[in-house]
Amino acid sequence: MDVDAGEHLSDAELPATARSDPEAFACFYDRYETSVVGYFLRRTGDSEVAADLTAEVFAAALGAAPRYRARAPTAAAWLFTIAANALNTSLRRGRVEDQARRRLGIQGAAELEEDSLQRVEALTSSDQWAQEFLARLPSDQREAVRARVLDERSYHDIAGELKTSELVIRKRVSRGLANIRLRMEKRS
Amino acid sequence: MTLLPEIRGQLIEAISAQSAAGSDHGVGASARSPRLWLYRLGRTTPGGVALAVGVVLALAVAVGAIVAVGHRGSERHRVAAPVRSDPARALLSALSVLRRPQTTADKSLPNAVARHLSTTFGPDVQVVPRLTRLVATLRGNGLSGRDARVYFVVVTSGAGRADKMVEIMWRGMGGGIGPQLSALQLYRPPSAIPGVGVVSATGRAYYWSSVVPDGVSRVRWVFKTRATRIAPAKPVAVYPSIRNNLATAPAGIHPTTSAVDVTWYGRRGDVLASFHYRGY
Repeated sequence: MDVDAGEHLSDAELPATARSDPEAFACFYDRYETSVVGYFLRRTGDSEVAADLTAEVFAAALGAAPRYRARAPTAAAWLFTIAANALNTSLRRGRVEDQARRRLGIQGAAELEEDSLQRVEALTSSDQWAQEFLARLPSDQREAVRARVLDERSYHDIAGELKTSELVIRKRVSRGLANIRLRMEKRS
Repeated sequence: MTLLPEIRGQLIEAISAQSAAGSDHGVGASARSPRLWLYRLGRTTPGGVALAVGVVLALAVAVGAIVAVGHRGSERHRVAAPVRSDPARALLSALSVLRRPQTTADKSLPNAVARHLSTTFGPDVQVVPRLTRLVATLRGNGLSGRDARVYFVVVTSGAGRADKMVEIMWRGMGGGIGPQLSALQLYRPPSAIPGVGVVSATGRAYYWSSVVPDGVSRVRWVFKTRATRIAPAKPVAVYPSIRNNLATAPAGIHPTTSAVDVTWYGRRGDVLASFHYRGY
């Protein structure tokens, strides 16, 4: 599929366009797929659950696109808020919802190839050591460092998702990294 | 590089189909959404606001009545099925795949499986829908070979307790059903011994598989082939891949063996358990 058509669109424009334009959606999906899959994988530790949640989040984003109002330069905060909600609901109910996909007319799960699952798993193997250090941080610092350093998201997006100020997030990241540095020094 | 081209393709296909249909509903939108429906009702009908308010009031009364009745009924329900005494908890503690959220693919268990289970184990055995898991998809070989799906299902036993699991290998319209296993039986033969499944219409693709409880990181199976007139029996070591508490390995064209040794290793390479089975 030719995705060039969507590449000139900004993040603020893409969600609204993507719901009726497959090429724009492909562009939007490609921009955020790795971040969203990584987000779920680090929190669930399961490649199949991460893949299923990713499918549901992008379908939910399409459903919510008409209500999207671009208040930030990127759509990341909006998308990760949807992701966080999907994750919390799934953990609470013990199952990944498929409501958004069914609204799109999708029946059943996509057949995932072994290669795809291996690519997803490779996302965590590279930062395994970081996960070990992260696990020992206080939860607020852990979330901030994970979102900023591992998910490579902007302070603005993270602050939007966690409903706090950028300054607070910056402090949490700074303290978290200092904590990790200290532990690494002790270990060495 | 797309990580999950299957999901990307599925979503794009859905958008294309909806765009082509030119549906007034829009993608995901929500003609079914109650909020939007009320909004439209209020805007388009003369006196629609009054009607919308009436609908909201009627719904509120109905919901209140349901909540009141449900509250009274819930006392009895709480006594009948206390959440804390989930009989599947032993299985849940042994198999992490049962603890993870149920995915959409997990729910693809064919209806025919339930009928097969009833035929095999009796009518009292029922599948617990929230605890079905698709643990592997084994590829068939060539044009005639169809993929097989391997499921773990938790079933209620004769006493109505959901304390047994069954491994099912399903291909097309039929498949193989393993024995009912309790959590305790997962840690000893015959559960630990790999069974063979056929993944081909022509019977030319075989897989060995066995359930592997949490904590086992690596498995070694040593098969001893049968001695023939021209070749003596010889051991063949196989290291199966492990995913979702299932160890699988292709078994070649002719999986004839006379014995098998199984060794389970932990994360640090330590031997957790070993079994010997002389039964094939």
